[in-house]
Amino acid sequence: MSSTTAAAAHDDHHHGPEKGLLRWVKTTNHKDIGTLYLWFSFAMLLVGGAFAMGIRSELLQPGLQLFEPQFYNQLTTMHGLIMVFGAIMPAFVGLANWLIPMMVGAPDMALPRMNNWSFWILPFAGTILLSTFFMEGGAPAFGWTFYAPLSTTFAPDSTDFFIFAIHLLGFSSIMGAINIIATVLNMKAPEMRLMDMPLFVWTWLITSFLLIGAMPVLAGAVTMMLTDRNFGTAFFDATGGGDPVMFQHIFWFFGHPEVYIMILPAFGIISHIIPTFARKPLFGYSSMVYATASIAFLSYIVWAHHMFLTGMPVAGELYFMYATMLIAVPTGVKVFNWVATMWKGSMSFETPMLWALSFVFLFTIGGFSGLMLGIAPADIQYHDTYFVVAHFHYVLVTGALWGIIAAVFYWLPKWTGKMYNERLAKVHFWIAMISVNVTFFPQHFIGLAGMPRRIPDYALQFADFNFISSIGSFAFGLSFLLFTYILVDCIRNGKPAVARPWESAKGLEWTLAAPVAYHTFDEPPTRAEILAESQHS
Amino acid sequence: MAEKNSKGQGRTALIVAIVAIGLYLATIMLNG
Repeated sequence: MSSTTAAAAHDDHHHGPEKGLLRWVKTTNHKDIGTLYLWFSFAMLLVGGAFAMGIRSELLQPGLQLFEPQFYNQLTTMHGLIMVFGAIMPAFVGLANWLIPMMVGAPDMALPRMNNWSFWILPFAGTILLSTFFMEGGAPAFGWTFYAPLSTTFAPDSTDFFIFAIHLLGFSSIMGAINIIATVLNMKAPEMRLMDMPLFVWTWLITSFLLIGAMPVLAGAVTMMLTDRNFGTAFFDATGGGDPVMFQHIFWFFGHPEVYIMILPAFGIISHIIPTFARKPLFGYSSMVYATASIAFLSYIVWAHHMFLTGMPVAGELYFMYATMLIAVPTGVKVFNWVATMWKGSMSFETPMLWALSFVFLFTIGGFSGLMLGIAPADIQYHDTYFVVAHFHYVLVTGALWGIIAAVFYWLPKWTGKMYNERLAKVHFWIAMISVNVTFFPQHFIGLAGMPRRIPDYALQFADFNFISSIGSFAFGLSFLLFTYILVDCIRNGKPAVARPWESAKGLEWTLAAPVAYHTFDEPPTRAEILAESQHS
Repeated sequence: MAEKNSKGQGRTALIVAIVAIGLYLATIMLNG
């Protein structure tokens, strides 16, 4: 950056961060904002996890033990909303903030002040959402999908606060996506071509376009809910000439790309970790890029596979079924590429690799149960059962969350300049890996046997598997206390890390010192540096 | 380079923001 622009943009450009709390309030530094996003999402993960512990405690035995059914439904609703909008999405934005500028050789994000705004909206939106628990009538209890008329005619008053929170969260996500698109397209090193970009950057660029296509539709849906509830419109009210099924179409036109928003960046992370610990270049770099773009495109044209039971014409069901099956092709390309990367590699199994490997295995299980759900005639049996719950927890917990945890262990030495405790981290991995399967695998069985989702009580025949599932979930929940300890221990007492702690890691971020300086890449990297660190060299 | 880039960033951001606002309005208008 030239000295004139540096002086104009940043008075303290070549100094460290400000001191005190105001540093975090006023920061425009991508690393600070990334840290804020990651800690916020971790806090939300613990809150959403606490709700999950409540849900599984209630389901430990048949009969009602702890909660009124209405409160149970508030817990499942808020668990879903907090995990999707408060934990998973902000965690990936935090990783993007930390990593994308370093990976493309840029000094910061393209629009640093907007970046600050994107983050600081989140704590307010999260607080508004959580405050609904303390309002008259309780929190929203209509499920994270907030189908009308449950969320319009029959919803508690607190729903208007929920609508405001969703507007804010969506606004934050859109600003984040704008920032990532502008950073990648305008700020990457002049010598870096698109097909030189690391896959985390590629997957996030494509995810940003998904956000831009999906979040405004969600905002439209909640705006229509707001006017239906308060201003006499009837978008979703059949008595006024509206259509409640239209709500589901609009919701899932957002909701299906949303699930890929939560998984594509994880695909990018896994595509970094596996080559590093297999000590081989990524197999099929360009096919990974095209597969990601294909998945993103297909995600927009399959939404009604969530709605097979709404009475669609058979031609519609067939179209959405076959379009859904098609997603297995690019997803298969990615899974086979990861396996081919490992083929004849000199593999080692440090903690990030353990998370990445179990991601490939467990996410694929979630993918296969997704294919089962996508079969229209079979879905008549599976719809709204615990099979669906098992499916989306395999893709979102052992998919999205696994990707985030893998990334945290992989890049933690770069962020903090310290190494975590490898032995404890492996213990944590195995506790989490086993307990997550004990939690969610039996849910396939109770779902296939017909237990519906979103109920606090169930028939006796489901008791044994529910008991196992609850015990597993308590162990899984406790494993995050160990995770917290490992993170704090690393930050406080970790041994100093070298700049490239994984000797086969490729990427411009590893050329920087550890801990990474507050400002990096004042001078863009050269073509030779970019090629030396490229994923296909 | 930095000056040229900073112009490009604003334009890219503006275009994407207009697309997002357009989608938001279209969602409501098309279902009205």
